[in-house]
Amino acid sequence: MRQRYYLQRQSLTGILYILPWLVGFMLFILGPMLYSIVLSFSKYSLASTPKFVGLSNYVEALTGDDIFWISVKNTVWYVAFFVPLATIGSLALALLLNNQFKGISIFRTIFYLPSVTPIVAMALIWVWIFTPDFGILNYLLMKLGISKPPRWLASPEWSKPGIIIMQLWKIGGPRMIIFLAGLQEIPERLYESAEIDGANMFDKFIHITLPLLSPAIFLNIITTVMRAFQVFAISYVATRGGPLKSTTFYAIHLYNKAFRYFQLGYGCSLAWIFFVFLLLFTLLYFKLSKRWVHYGMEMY
Amino acid sequence: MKMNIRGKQASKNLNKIFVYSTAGILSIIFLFPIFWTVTTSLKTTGTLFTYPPQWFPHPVRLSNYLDVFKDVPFARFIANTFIITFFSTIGTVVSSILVAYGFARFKFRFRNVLFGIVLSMMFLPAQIIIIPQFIMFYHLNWIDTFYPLIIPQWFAVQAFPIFIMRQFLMGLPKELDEAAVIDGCNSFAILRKIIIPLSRSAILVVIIFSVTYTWNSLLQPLIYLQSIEKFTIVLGLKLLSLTMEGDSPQYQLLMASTLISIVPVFILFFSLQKYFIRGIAISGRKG
Repeated sequence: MRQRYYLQRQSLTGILYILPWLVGFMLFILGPMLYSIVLSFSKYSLASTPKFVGLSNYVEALTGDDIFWISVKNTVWYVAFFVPLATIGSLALALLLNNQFKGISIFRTIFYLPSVTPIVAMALIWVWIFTPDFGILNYLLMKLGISKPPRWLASPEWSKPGIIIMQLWKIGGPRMIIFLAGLQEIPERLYESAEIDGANMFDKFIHITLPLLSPAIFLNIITTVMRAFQVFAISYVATRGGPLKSTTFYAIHLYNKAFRYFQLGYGCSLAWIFFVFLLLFTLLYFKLSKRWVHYGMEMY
Repeated sequence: MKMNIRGKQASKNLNKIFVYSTAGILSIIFLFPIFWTVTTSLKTTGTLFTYPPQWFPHPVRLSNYLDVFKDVPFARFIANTFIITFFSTIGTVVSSILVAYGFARFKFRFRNVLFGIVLSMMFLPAQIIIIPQFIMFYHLNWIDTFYPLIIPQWFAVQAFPIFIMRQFLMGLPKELDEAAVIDGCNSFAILRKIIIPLSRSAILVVIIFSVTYTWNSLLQPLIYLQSIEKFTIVLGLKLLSLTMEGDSPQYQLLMASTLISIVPVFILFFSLQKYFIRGIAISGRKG
């Protein structure tokens, strides 16, 4: 009897403590999400009451909205190039810094700094560096003998690569730290015994480092992909979607529709298409991960 | 055998040289944008576009930093950012401690399901809730106030702080609580007198997360703050960058204000570097 009373009390107290989150989740997340499903089937612009229009927002997005597909293409392009480059870049930095040499932590600090720089500040700094005619980057490129350097953010061909370069400035941030922590957990004796068996550096990397690092790689790829799909601030500040819509990413298109033209219902349908896509992508990724992610030390 | 050891030593030295020189060159590349920002911020309109560019400004014009405050209400932006950051960070810290304590120390029905929902919030794209939230705050008359940026934080809407705090609390030995129960402490007294003092490092991780998140955020302030006197630093920078699109963009002023926005986060980073790293390491291990 007492036992049961104690358990009941315990569960009540527990729920009381998580109450802030429970309320917040209902009010600020679940409620809005449900509301946005309804809105995605309506026309609404704050000025009037929402008008039910059935599937027409979705049909419009997928078949009638040119910018929708442009933004999808831009975003996929960006994700496809940025994610591998950023993952490999962070891993390479982590491998470089994974040692006990004197003063190595100074380098770690230096490489981390860009990722604490506010993204808007970062965008403005790079806009100035990338300025085609007076920018320092093109000055240096011309010094190196490139007579016609790219016009970077001012040209539709080079604007996305430019944005990727800006973002790669941050490869020394959290992603690299996660790799570094993963590398430091690999026991030294594995490398030693592989050496005795005559393994070279490449063998050791392929057969020891990569498999044991796979949980960190798994985590880093999914978080990088999720962020990359949502790329917004850098384009909003540095290129405002241009030139010629070349940096109009999905989140930019959604923002414009919802908050510049106040097509809020349409914006919600864009958001749901995005959400379902990301969800399916994540599920697929988790499913496929079982083939290449090794947890724990069960492999030897 | 001796040869072998000597060979090993030599290859170790070679490795050292490789690491130092590569890291050194990369450091120059990584630091260059910041160096260039500092240099530019000290130039004059006359030396901004010289060819070849000046690596070190001559003359040095420190008063750019004062001009920033004359052209736009930048002091106001700084104050606004401090207010928003301060109140939303307190909200995040308080609510995430309470919620994490509930998840870490009490058994109740659906606890694991609910915590699973907390974790899944980390993957929730902001786009999916931003529009209905905007409509909700519009009807509450909260547009152009700081409330939409602060109030939700008091309800633990960020998953990462809850997650970090809970991971940390799970690591604290339960015997401590049990001893306190025998001494007649209730659960809140345990939280206040035992758990919180022991969780200082996790709380710092949460503070850092919240401060940098709020300080750097663009989307939320962009949507909710409309009049210039309500702007945050980030919006102020965006505003400055727009006013500079005329014939002679004042990049020295833009770079000066950019640096002003960076310095507080850099100070936070340099003084609490250990905790920046710790937070990431904790989240990485669980992945």
